[in-house]
Amino acid sequence: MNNVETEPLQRALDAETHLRLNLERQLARANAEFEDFISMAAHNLREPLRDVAAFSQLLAETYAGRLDSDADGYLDRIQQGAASIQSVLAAVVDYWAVGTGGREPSPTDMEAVLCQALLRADKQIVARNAVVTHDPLPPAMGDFEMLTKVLHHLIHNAIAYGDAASPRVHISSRLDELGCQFSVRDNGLGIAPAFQARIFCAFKRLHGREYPGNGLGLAFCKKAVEGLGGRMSVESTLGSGSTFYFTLPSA
Amino acid sequence: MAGEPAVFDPGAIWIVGVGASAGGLEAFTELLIHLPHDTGMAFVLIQHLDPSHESHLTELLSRESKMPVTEVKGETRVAANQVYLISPQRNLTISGGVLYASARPATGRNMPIDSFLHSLAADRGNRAIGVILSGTASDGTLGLKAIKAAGGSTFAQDAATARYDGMPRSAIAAGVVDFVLAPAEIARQVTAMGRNPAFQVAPPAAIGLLEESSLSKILRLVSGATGVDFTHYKRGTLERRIKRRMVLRGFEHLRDYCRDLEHNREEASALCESCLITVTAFFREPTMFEELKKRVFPALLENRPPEDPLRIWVAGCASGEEAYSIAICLQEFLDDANLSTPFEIFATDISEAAIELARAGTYPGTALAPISAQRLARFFIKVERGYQVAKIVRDRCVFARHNLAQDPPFSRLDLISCCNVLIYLGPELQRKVMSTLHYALKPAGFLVLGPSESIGTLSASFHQAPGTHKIYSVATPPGAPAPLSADGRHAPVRLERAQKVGGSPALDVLREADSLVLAAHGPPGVVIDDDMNILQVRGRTAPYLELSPGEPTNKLLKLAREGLIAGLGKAIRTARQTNAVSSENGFRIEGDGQLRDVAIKVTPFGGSPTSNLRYYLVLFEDAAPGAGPKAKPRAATRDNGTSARLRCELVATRHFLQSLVEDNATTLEELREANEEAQAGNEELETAQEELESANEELNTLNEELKISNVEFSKVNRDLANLLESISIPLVMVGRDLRIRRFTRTIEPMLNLIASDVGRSITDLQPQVELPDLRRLLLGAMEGGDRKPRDIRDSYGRWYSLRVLPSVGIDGKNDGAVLMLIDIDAAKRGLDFAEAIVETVREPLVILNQHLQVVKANKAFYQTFRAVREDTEDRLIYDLGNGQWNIPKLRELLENILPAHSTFRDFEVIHEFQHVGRKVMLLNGSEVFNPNAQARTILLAIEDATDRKQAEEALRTTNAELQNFAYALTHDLQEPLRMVVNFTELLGREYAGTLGDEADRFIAYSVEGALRIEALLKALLSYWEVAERSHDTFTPIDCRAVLAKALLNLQAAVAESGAIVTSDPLPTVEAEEVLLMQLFQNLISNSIKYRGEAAPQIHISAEREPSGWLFAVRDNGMGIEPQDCERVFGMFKRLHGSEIPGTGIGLALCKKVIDRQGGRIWVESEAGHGATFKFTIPAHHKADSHRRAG
Repeated sequence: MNNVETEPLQRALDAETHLRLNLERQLARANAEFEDFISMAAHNLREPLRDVAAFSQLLAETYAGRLDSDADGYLDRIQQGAASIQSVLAAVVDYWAVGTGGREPSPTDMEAVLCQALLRADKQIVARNAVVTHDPLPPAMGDFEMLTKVLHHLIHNAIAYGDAASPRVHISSRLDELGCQFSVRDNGLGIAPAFQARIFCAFKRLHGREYPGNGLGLAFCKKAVEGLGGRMSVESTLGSGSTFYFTLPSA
Repeated sequence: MAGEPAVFDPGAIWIVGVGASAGGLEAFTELLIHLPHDTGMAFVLIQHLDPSHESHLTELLSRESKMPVTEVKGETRVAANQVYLISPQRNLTISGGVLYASARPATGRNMPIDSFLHSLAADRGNRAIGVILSGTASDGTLGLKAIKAAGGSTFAQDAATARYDGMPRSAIAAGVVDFVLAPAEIARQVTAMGRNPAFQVAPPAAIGLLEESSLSKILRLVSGATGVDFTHYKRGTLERRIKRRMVLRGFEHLRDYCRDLEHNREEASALCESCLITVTAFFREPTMFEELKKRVFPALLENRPPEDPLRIWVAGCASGEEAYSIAICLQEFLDDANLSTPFEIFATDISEAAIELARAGTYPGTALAPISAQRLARFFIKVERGYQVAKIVRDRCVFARHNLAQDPPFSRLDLISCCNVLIYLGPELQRKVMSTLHYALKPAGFLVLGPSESIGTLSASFHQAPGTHKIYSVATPPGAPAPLSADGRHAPVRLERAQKVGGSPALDVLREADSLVLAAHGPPGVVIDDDMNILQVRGRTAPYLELSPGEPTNKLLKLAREGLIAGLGKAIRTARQTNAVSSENGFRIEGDGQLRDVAIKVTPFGGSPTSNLRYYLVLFEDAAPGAGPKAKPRAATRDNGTSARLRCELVATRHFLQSLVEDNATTLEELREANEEAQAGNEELETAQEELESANEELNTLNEELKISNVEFSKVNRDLANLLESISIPLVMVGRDLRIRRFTRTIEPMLNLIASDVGRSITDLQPQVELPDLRRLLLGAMEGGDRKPRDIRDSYGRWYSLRVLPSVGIDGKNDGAVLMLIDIDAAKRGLDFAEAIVETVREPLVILNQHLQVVKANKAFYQTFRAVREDTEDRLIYDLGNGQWNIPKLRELLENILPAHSTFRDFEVIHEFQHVGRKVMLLNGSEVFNPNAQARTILLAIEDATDRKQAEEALRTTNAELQNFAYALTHDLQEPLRMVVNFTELLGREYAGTLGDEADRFIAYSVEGALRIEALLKALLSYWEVAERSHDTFTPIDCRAVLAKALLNLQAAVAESGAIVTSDPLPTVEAEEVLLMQLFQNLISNSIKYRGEAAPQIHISAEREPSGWLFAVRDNGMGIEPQDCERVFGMFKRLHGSEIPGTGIGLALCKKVIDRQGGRIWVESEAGHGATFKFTIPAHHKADSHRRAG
């Protein structure tokens, strides 16, 4: 074997590597472009949306009492739609923001995260008369804001799909050699095994419009947890609630 | 040969002549060492010396000899206890005790030993001692013979100690050696003889006389084995031949030899061949051939009808030279005489071997020496090993095996040549042969005999032709049965038989004689021939002739009565001398009791006109009673008593004389016989000489050949030396014993060799290179073992390939080994480099041999497949792992590489690999040149494409995911958006103008926002529709139709703006109709949107390009700053604020569409001068570059 022989090999291998790198670059670019697209789209949509929301609200406030019930209903619907659109756009932006420009994981006080999440969910908890309990949570490696959102989503989700009358949510944790495992258990309907794989996909809502949500919550959670080096999973038995797990490296 | 030993001075010292040639120094030394200093003898050493070189023999021998050694250069008187040595350029002789050194003959064969010993024999007689030591050829044999004849003693070195036994053997074979001993023994014996002259040792028994019984037994054996009966051959010859064979075969006793012969047929035929002397030569007796031409041929051809062929018989033709000579001679004669008489020559011999040679007619150049160049050119053809007799001559000669003594003869022959045959035959056989020859000849035929042969008892049947040669013509009538005698070895018997047949001379002779008789009045008389044999008796001769006692004879003088003999002799002599009539008177004879006076008259006459034979008519006449008788009676009466006494005395004297004459005749006959024997001996010697000459010739030839091969060898040697000198390969050759034979200069420093190391064992060296196990390696190579080159380094770290190959000897067996150190440093480093690359290549590589077995695999291979070397190398590729490569299609590809010189690329194997799980591998195979491998090899490169496949997969899923996401998003947004839009519109419709201006404005803003959202979402949706579309919808699209549809969609905008849209004829392209429409729609819409102050003018054109179509959409709008030309195609990259409505997606969508087409889109513009959007659509749709084929 000499150089002459090995050169083509080297070239072939380089080509192969090049090809793979190219693919990876394409993948990255596709993702980036898409994120770009999403954020721009969201941004571009927000402006007219704000117009609609703002003026419809201004109209409602200015002419409160001067409008008939029909008009009040129209405005209400308009504002509902605008809020819904805004919520979706915010979720989409959140979703795509995960993994880009994220901060390095750092030791994070999970108790504090839980407090913040419960705070955000307080309205819903009160509205649904939900009972949320939790075990002490150990600190873990992660991002405070991101983990707050994740935990908030999971709590929100648990309450939303929990028992209609008295939703109960329990948050606990377990330490093992791989790190910390956190779980959020509800007392809802549970998820049929066939659907369990799909629930983490964007916009794959299992339920109809009777449940609020923009279809991005669990997708966001999975993406965020994986971005922090953990894993997301669900255990559920139809009729006896679901438990969502996520792991994080120990702090 | 000396007759009687001369009388020598008894006090004279003994002189020992010692002769030697090749191997002589050793033999001389051995002899001299064992000679004491006081033998009382003188020693003369005769050594064959090269005349052109100085001899160092004197010094060499002086060291060993106890006696002084002197080189003889001039005249030297011989003294006792001295050693004399011949000088190179001289020959020595001795005479009267003085050595004479004479110049050796310039030419011819020099036989210094023979010549000295001859003179020694003559000088010393029985005090001469001859010694023959080692040497080739036969010098000395004749010298020893002379010494022996002179009564001296002879010695020869025994064959066991002689380096070269030719000379001693020759002497022994000649029967002239008394003692055959080793040199030391010779010294002892000679010394003893010198001290005590009476001392004698019995000569070896081998040289004794042959016992009669053994001899006849031998002859019987030979006859039984070969069919040749030698019984009547001459004893002397046979004995010599037998002795010679015995000596050659190493037998001492005849009994032993006899026993050996009994079951050794080969020896019997060898003896037979040896007894059959085949000596002959071309034109052996030149004068005889002259004679043939001058007399015999003319006589034979005279009055011969041209068609009557000449018949010639060469009896005892040996190897044919004589027959061919006669044929040539005759042919020449015929040609000269311009005759075309045919002739045939029957050539016969008893020896089959000789006949074979003769038939072939091929002779070495030397045999043809006596032949003139003319004859050579005319009658011979040059062939590979000499000359062959030309076909015209060979065709004339018929060769056949024929035993002259036993087989029936040919007949009606014109000429018989029977040279040197009779001399070997005993008398009885001679007679038989002669009568056979006589019978075979025509009346006018001729017989040619050898120079020493004679017609013998048939002298009456043949006439000798005049001249020196033994050419005879037939004298008796043809066809007469050859007379046979009962017995007789002696001349008288032959004489008697001759007398018997002598009565019928030729007819013309008779006639002549009759006329003469008549002329002389018919007195009684006889006709005699030249030899005084009575041929015819005429008249009553009884008173004059009478048979005397003893054997009968036809000699006239023996028959003549007393008293006539003297007169007859005188008269015949006178007649012969004068060739005229002579007469003698006054002879008195006694008859019937009375005396009568007789006159004798002799008349010579020629026998025939053609013959020179002379005859004599002898007439007896009673003298007329006259004066004589008157006186005589008177005297008789007067001296009666005295005369009676005298007469008695006279008679007695005559008787005495008669007996003397008879004795003389017998002696003569014996002498003749002795002469014949001598002649036979001479023949034998000639044979021996011929043998020697031929041996010499062979040696010369051999020498010549050796010279040539020597030249060849030295050439080859030189070539080899030059080759070794010029090649830079370090190389050393060793023999089986590991001793160095040769080496090249370049290996010297490596093995620490110097020139004198040739012959040393290679294992003794202190090499500069690592040569572990060198001995085993070399021996192994010689045994035909491992020849695999191995890489070694010298002390400087330089790399060499050590190769050991066996070298093949003459016998085809390995007789040594060649060790080569080929500098492969560069290659090795290169190889290392290459190997390093191969090793570091992350791609798994496998090298396969022609049987698809793994020769080598790199580290990446072992890592990738978690394999180990032991389970990989030398295994079949299909057997590796869990049979992952055992795929029929792959087998086909691999097995085709070497035979078809093919290669293959990117053969994809998806397999659940052992240890490593599911992988996607891409295989590339090709032949690879590997300088170190003898056979062809295949390089199989395996690319782990799993990562790439995964990346591809990831890209695909991501794209799909993104599209799904976008699609789901847009759909999810649709619902609330519809709600917003619907209710704002409803609000506007129902409450506009009812709540006041402010409320109207609020409502208007809301509606506007909702519409904007709707437009935006619609654009997003269509964009993602583009991205999401599958790729198999490309069809030929007529661009004109598509443009029309787009304009239809833009109807409102076009109408509102007053835009004028024109187009050139547009082609049909392969594309997706919906997308193409969106493209046109967006571009036109864009142009309308960003119009200038004037009404928009938009022109669409298309032109053919090599790769497809180039479209252009030109407007007269506000244009785009050059720096913005790139940006416009980005998503949401709006250049303008909200003063111009737009979603920021249109041009991005256009780009997306063109990307999918595999084309390119760009804009050429200048601010304020409109813009031209250009895009290309390739003629043939190419797959999206994101995807790999297959």
